[in-house]
Amino acid sequence: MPNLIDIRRRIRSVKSTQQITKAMKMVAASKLRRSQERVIAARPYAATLGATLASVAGRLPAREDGSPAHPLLAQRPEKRVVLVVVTGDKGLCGAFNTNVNRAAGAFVREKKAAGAEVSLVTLGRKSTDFWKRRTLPILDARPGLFQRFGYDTAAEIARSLSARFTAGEVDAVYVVYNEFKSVISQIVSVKRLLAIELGELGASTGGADYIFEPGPDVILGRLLPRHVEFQLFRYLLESNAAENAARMTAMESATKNAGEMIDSLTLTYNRARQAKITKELIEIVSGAEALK
Amino acid sequence: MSETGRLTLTVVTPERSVVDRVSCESVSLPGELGELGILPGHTPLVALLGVGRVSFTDGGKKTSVAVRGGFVEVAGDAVRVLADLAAEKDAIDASEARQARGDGEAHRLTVVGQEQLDVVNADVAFAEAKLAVAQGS
Repeated sequence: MPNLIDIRRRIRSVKSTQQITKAMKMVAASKLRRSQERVIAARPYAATLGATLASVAGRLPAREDGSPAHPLLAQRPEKRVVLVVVTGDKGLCGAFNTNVNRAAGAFVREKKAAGAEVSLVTLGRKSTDFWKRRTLPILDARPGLFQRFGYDTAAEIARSLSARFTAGEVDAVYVVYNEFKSVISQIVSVKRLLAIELGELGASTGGADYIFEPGPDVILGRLLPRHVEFQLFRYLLESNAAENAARMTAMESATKNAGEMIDSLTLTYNRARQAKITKELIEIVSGAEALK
Repeated sequence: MSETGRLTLTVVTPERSVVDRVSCESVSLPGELGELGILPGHTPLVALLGVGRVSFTDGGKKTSVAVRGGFVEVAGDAVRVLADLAAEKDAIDASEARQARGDGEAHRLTVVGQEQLDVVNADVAFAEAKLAVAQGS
């Protein structure tokens, strides 16, 4: 028969766990709200930058030799590929980090099968810890990035990637991160950061003639690096929002599970208590019988 | 195209939106190559933004925001400013800006190389633009 004191102790411990998960859920919820606001705040810039880039790109004079108008547009065969792996800094958020690392692993295998060398940039503690135990070269690791990050952080990382790309050290840069679809759903997605595909921007050629001050190539030369920086910044914002959403959901179900466990333990406890009383009664009654 | 004789100004940074589709009569901007004045019916334009103040007037009332670097696009009656950094009057701490200006000016004497000097100069100019906006001139 289970010991009453043991069961009581277990109930107490599950209860305190439940309090912790409940508190973590609250924290994640308030962080989620803030990170969602940041995603929304970045939207006007995204729309405007996209529109401007499209109108500039559509009006570039064509080069006669067919070479790209800017080094960041150079499409090369992918021999050396960089994969930027974006995870969170902390666990306790379900399969959030694991999903990204697994997708990164699949991507690496695929690129290696195609004969490319892959190196990594790990953003967030979880991907850094996961990949540093493996054999792939890591160009840059940022554990603890999500403690506090702003546009500057993303811009700095993007600039170093662009520099490597322009110098011809790498042929393509991809990013794998969690996209924030909704509070209950995060989707791992792989996006190409470099080379930039102007077609994807919906370059429009029609419309009025623009004045460029200075010339269109100078402006494009400033717009494209900014586009790369901003793209990475957005991925970070998305991943951050998705992480908080994942943690909130995970902690909610943990709280619920703890509640169920408390219920079933309470039931066992009451049963054991009842059995003990019954047993004692029987002992008393049979003792009294024996004295007759 | 603009038949209404008014402009719509938007100022955004990667982190937030500073001016959201405000209707106005004219806009003046710090272009990298010089001050730009935009009136309704302006030819479509894409220009690099320098450091300074974006001012817009509406019914004789002039409002400014400090900006640092970025782009401006004029298309039809829409003026869209993509600033690297921007601050409107409410977001500026005058003493902080004064401090930044002082730091920058002191730093200017010690920097090496044109590139760093440009950065410091931009810092000082941005701090000055902030102060000017804060003082409402």
